[in-house]
Amino acid sequence: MPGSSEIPSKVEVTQLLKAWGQGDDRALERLTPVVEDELHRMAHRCMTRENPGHTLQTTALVNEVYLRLIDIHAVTWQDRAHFFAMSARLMRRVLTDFARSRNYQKRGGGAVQVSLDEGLLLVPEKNADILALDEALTRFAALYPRQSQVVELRFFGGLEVVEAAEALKTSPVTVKRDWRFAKAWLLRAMSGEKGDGC
Amino acid sequence: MDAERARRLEELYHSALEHEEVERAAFLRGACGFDAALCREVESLLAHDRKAESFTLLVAETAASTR
Repeated sequence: MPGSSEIPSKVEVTQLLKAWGQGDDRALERLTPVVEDELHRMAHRCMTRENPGHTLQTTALVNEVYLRLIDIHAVTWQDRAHFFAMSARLMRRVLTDFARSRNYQKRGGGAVQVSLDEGLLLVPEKNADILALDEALTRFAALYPRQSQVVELRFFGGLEVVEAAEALKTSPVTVKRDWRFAKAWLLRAMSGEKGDGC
Repeated sequence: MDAERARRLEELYHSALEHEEVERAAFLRGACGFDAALCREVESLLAHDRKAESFTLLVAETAASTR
């Protein structure tokens, strides 16, 4: 909703996420720019108070964005799993779109390294990492759906082990195992080393 | 890779991790039997398990777990 002056309230964002979870794609269209704006604003704030070389960690970033955007108390217990899954997916989408557009700018933009706020949010090498991770995760999900959800929830959703276990209705032990396996698998995929494809 | 093979790969990966590092190769040879490709696949994942410790992208995990 470009140029829209009304910023959805926490309650509205929470409702939109729920609506998207129930299949309303217009809710996603409305949500994406809100989350993107908030990411930009936060990155800019950090830039003014911290060193230029500082890198924002994804989990911390995601947590902070959610804290500001979402009224978690408005989500009923039964909705939580679905809600977290949708939130994490949304953040994955926003972060990869963001990284992609920055890569595009870099190719076309010559000497200018990174713009102020974007440079802070994702330093160049991390940028490539996010895109490579997104791609590897898509392939991983085809073979290991639950394990890929663990990555989505933990990495893009910023959830702790226990929270991810709750969201997936499984045990923390399983989440830890899945996370470890997923990391090794994704790292290998991102390093360009192929398995035997067996 | 089909679903059954994917499941086997994951299972062997976790079983191998339960063994001491020096015993893993022997364990895998026994567990994979004639399937050398599967054995190599598990080994390459195990190699990346070690690298995962220093993986910059996943630095967030360290931050979260030390909170």
